[in-house]
Amino acid sequence: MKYSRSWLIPLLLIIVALALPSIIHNPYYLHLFIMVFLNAILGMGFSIIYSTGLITLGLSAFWGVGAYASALLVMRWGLSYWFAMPAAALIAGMIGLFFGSFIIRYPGVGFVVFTLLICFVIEKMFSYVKIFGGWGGIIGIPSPNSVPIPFWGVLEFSGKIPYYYLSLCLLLLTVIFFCGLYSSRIGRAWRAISLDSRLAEAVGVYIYGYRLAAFVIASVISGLAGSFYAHYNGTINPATFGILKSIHIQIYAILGGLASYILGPITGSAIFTLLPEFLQISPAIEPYITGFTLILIVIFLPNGFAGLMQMILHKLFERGEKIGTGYIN
Amino acid sequence: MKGRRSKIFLLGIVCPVVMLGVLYLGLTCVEPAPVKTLKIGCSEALNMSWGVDIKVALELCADMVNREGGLKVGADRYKIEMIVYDDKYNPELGRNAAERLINRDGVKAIVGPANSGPVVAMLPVTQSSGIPLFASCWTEKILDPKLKHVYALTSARSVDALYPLIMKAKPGIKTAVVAAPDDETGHSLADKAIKILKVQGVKILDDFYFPRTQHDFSPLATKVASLNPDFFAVPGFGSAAELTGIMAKALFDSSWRGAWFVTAAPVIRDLVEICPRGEAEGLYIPLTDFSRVADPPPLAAKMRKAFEEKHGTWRNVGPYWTLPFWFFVAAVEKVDSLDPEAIDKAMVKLQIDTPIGKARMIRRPDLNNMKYVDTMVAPALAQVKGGKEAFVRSLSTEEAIREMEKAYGFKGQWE
Amino acid sequence: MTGRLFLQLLTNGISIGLLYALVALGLVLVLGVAKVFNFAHGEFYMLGAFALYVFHVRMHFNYVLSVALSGLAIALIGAICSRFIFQPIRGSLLKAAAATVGLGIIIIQAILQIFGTEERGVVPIFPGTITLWGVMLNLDRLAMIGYCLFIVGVLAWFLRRTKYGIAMRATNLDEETSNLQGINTDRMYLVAIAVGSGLAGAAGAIVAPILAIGPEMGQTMLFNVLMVIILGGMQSPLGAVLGGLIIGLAFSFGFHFLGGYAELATFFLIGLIVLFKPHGLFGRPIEV
Repeated sequence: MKYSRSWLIPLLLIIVALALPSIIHNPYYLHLFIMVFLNAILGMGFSIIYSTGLITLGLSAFWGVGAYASALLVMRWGLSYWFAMPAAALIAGMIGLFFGSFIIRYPGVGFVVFTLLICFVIEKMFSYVKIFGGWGGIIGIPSPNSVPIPFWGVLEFSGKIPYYYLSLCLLLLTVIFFCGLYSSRIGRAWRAISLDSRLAEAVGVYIYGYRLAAFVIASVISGLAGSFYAHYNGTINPATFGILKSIHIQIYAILGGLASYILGPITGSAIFTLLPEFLQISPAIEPYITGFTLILIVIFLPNGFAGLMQMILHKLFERGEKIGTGYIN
Repeated sequence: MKGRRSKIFLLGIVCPVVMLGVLYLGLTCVEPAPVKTLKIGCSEALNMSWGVDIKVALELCADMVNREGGLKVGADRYKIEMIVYDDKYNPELGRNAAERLINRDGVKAIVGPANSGPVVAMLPVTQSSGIPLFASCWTEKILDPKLKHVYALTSARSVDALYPLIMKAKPGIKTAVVAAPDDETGHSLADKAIKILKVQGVKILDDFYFPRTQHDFSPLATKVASLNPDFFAVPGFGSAAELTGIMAKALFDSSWRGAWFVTAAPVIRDLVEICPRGEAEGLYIPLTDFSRVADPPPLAAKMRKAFEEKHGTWRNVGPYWTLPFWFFVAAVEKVDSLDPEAIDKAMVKLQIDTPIGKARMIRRPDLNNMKYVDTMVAPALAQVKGGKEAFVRSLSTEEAIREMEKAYGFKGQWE
Repeated sequence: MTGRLFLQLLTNGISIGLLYALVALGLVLVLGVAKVFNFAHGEFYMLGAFALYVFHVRMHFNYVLSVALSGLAIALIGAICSRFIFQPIRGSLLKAAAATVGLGIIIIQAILQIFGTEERGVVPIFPGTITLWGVMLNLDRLAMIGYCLFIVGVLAWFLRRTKYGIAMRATNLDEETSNLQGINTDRMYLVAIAVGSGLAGAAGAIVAPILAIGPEMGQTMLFNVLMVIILGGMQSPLGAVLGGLIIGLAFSFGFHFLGGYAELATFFLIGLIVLFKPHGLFGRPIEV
């Protein structure tokens, strides 16, 4: 994604996102946007694994690992949230490394099934092991420690607005980090693997290593998101981290379009989280919309909504510029 | 020129007429007696039959109060609007529902959520906004002493008191096996059952858990039959008639013939339909249909009448899930205020009549919570006999509290 | 562990294991021949159970006829889905993962709305038990074992003796070469999905009188079936049958000794086996 005008839209979005809390005051809608940002991070995790040609349905497990790790680190060992957050992300990454090193040998269907089973097992672990609070989960997770900001005072984490900016911050950090990754040597290797893995291997790309790297990175940022989620939510429950969430994560990525690994999940997460609210869709109709959207998008609109918007924008600003190479397997 | 003049003329006449008309309509649209609306709400698992039943029951209760003039708060009368969202038993959806109810719909209290997972997820939202939470879920995590304005209005404690009743109804029980669904409610109720049974002098042969989604109970029945206890308790189970029926069939076919008990009562008619050979005969359950008892609680008969007027044939829609509603109404009317602090004071030692008998607020000294946040309902035991629910025995709330003291200690601190 | 208890656990395990085997067979056919991972396979199983409810309880057809009709009905639904959903997404695992999940969501919601939220029971066909060697056997379960064995037998005959069956096995082995040999792989595709879905539907119809039917019953079944195909190999019919039996027995015996931990224990056991036999007992690496 490197065309001359391509920074305009993301910049616009960032400005709108930064200004949002001054326009919208209702905590409920701020909550929705916070969830959009979190889901976008998870969706980008899915995308990064997809960029190596693998499909994972187990990211919610690492999301959970991050949440529980962070909650326990703060509550049992008294760490400050600002240490616990990266620590939790690292723990999630290590668990990702552990599982990934086994299952990445099975590309294709086997991998998907294994990620599903990992999700299942980790969810069960959270429920059975007493230290995780068992079936009821953990309650009373404290909010992040106050941060003294020079020349301004102390940033307290009460109310929605500090969380909003923190989640936006995490999202932007992830975006910048991923942009860097995709345009680096690693990103080129991933692209090669996703285009034709056998050819890439023949040329000398170490598939297993690069895929494992993507898997671990995805686990790390899922853990990061999980840590935020635990302290924002105040309570965590094993049921939240099950397979349904993994399926939703896949939806965020696909809905937005897999042509873009960054704008896609953001768009998809925004649509999937916000649209049901704004359209006041009755709960009876909502599953139909989810289901049909999945089917129709995958068949008719493989580039998703982000791709659709790109097409529209290019039609509007037709200057003969090449539409970016977005490929779907 | 002519066209223009006629246009101005038209405009000059039409506009004032329209404006006057709108003004007139606006003035006459004001209702003669302004009725204020009070919004309360909750979330239920609307993808499950019992969740839909709870929604029906709560909306029915709101109707009943509204028909008698509404909620009385001082000089004001409020029409109660009950909003029920779907949480599909998912904590994230439960939390979203709480956010929506409090921040978008502006409810004054969350009344009636019955699912433990979603309710626990709601806690941070209600705590930070100060909105009272009247829940009917059975998890004891909401009875944490650090929480404020959270009340558990359930028959859970009275269910605990049913074990001694069963011992009295069927003397000679020496051994027992306890099995429960592998979830929060199952685990906490099983722990309580084991404790109470031990206090009664019963030896627990084994206790185990089964996946909540399990449909195939042959392995369970085989296990129970091989242990051959006098009594088999399945706490946290029973609301689904189909599953209870399958368990009944499995136990019957395993040729084990002891007394068994589920803590949530299924709809007996559905249960008997699945067990045509009478496999469910003798099953002990908490009494549910108080409207048929010889001396029914007045609220039970009223609810039944209101249900029949609104929906037709009476179907016992879980009256014990409506406790939060009745306690909320009683507390608000007692102190004539919707202020959470005032409501808190009203809940102290509050005793009311409910569709399942007399209920009173108690404390939980065993959980270190000396606020009046839990409920004791007069326990009533029933048994499936002749394909119908037959009343066996009951205790008063005082006697039930004595049983709690026997099992847990803290004499005198529960009330 | 008395002999009687052992026999009881064995029967429980075999009866439920054959059920898993039947559904797993369907999925293996779909996966191996059509190369589509149908996440809605569990929902087809559930549809079979509801179809039986409609045919047998509502329309009062004979039970065996209802089972056959249910299987055919679900096979038809599978064929329709194949034409409109599976065909366009053929070859792409992501599209399959997304579209079939969407399909599953739609099916569950449709059933929820049509039939309501109560789980339903079907009055058992063969109530009663017989006592064999001191073991009380549920006639229902014996009938279930019988039906499953019959269907598996018919399928085995189909796959080994009929032209279509052999063609399907060829497509399973190597699609390109089969195409070169003149097999119409597109038609094989359709047949495989129809037969696979029909198997799941028939399994649902068979189990309906014994276990309650509800809109969510497909989800748990899909889970167990995933474990079966991991154990048995994702493209191997024989692996599906044996894997199903092993897992059924593992659950049955496991529950007796471990209670609710049986699932987790079975999972770890499978994980261990997979370490040594990465593609399952009879599997080959699968390329999608």
